[in-house]
Amino acid sequence: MRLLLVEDDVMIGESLIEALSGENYAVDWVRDGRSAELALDNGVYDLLLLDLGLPKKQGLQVLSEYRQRGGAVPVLIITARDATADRVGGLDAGADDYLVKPFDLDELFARVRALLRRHAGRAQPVITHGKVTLNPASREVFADGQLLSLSAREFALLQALLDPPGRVLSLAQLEEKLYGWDQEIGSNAVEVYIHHLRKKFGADFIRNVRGVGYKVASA
Amino acid sequence: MISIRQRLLLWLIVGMLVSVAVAGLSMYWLAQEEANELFDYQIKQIALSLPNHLPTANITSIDEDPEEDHVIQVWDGQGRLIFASRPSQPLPRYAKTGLYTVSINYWAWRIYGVTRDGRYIQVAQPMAARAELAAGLAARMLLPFAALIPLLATVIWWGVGRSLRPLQDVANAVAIRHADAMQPLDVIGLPQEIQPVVVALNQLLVRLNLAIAAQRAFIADAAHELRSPLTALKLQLQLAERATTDAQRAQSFDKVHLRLDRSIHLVQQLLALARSEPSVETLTMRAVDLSALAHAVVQDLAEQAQIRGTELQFDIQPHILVSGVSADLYVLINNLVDNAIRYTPAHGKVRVRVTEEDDVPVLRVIDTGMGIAEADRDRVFDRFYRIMGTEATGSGLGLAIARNIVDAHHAQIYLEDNPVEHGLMVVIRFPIMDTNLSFV
Repeated sequence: MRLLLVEDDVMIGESLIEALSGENYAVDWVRDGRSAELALDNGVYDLLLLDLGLPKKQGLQVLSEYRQRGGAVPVLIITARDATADRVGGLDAGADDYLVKPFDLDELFARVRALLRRHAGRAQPVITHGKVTLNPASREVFADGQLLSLSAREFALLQALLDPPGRVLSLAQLEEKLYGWDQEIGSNAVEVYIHHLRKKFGADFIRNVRGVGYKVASA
Repeated sequence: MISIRQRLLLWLIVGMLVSVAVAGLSMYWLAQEEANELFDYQIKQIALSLPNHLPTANITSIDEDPEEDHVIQVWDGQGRLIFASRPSQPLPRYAKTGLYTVSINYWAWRIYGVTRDGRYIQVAQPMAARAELAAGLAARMLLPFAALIPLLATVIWWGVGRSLRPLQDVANAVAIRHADAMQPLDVIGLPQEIQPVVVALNQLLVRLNLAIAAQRAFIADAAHELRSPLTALKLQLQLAERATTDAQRAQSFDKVHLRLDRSIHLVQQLLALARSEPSVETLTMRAVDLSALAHAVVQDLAEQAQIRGTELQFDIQPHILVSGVSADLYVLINNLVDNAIRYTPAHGKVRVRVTEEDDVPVLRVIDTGMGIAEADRDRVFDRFYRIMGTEATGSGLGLAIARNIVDAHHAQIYLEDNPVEHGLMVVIRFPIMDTNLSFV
């Protein structure tokens, strides 16, 4: 899952990047409204974490213009403005959730998970596909009720393929979901992780759609 | 407490008593004049209208009319008393003609004497009669006033009370007010004596309102601004708690310290700002050695500059004095130099200059940072204002504090371009030193 963090405060930004990376999200960080717009135009993000008081362009303006352009990515506003009017204004401008600074990291993670879940069209906190069950909150994967041990990248790759299941993702898309701007990507890293997953779930669990990408086999 | 009502009543009664007394006295005096003229005429007429043949000595004191106060006496050519209207009241023969006044046994008498047909006629009347008449007249005329005084007092008491009621209404309106109710008092319908008071009160309310609003805005701003460093601190603490290796934890705690320092810096700047707000009590200005202060700041910030790789230069003329408060001026210079170091990229230069130009002490802090755009130069003095695109870890208060201190010292602050290379030059021109100030 790849997130865009828009935060002008260097110290808060640094800590959030560290925290979200620890949760195996690929996170890109921009510090002003203009850069946020440019980054959003890439269309690679699964979630936007947006501060409101931003240089160059205010967060609310960035948000409402993004929604007007048809942007559908879930948006979580993270701000110090706690007045009811601000919350209402933020949600009405197109935000999906609103978190007031200072906040607990656990709450941030839970809200991010909930937004991603909803966006994938799923109400259940746990993803079940055939014999495979994936719990994003506890980051546990079960196959036939057996707990499997997955590395962080393997987990992230599996989650990308399962949320929602059956979607075809290109190699480039998978790379985007796994790595932020500042992370080095090995030339065939994604293929290596796919290989690992096939070893753990069976060779036909992930299927190669020729010329398009990869998907999980239908249950 | 002095009551306007009681005062007015007292003065009105005193005034009335004085005018009644004056009126009474003049009335008495006028009546006496009149009575004199009248009685003089009367005794003259009595003397002239006496019959030629008077009954001789046939009037005894028994026949006397006690109401009658005239004494008529007639003497013949030989000086014998041939007639006396009141034998019990014998008056000496004065043998003068015309009207005159004499004193007999301390009583004043008015006498008319005339010689007719060889007889001397003398008619006398005690002056007391006239005074009595005049006094009686005056008293009768003043009697209504005596009755009017209590009536007037009542009317005045009531009228004054009624006229002062708007004042009481204003007082009640103010008394029942909640401390937050700052809307102006109603001026319409107030007497013109009370209106200026209420108008002035309303103006005070407006000023108070502005001051309170500014104070509230400041508290809200300050609370809001405190959230960012505290958020950064809280996040980093949680990360430190989650650290799995000692190395990670150590690194996390270093960051915790940085964020804590930032919160502390902001709180200190808030305090400095509160202290630099111009207060009502005038600061006690003393002669301060600006050069020494600038040196002290350069020394104190040398390490910080070195850490950031900034070259801190100084060019300070010795012993330049300004009048001011030493501690505040230190905060001022420290803020400016600290800002310059903060906003100048590594390997930049920050230069502190203290000079005297035409007796005017001038402090300059020149950096090679990104400078401040013309459009932003006024607004950067607003508290919590940050220039777009700058990293928001400063307090946003440095220049607001500087402006307050500059204002309190009657100095002027200008933001200009660095004249040599790209960067900012802050110029402070102090007022010319007053040589009478004591040196500390």
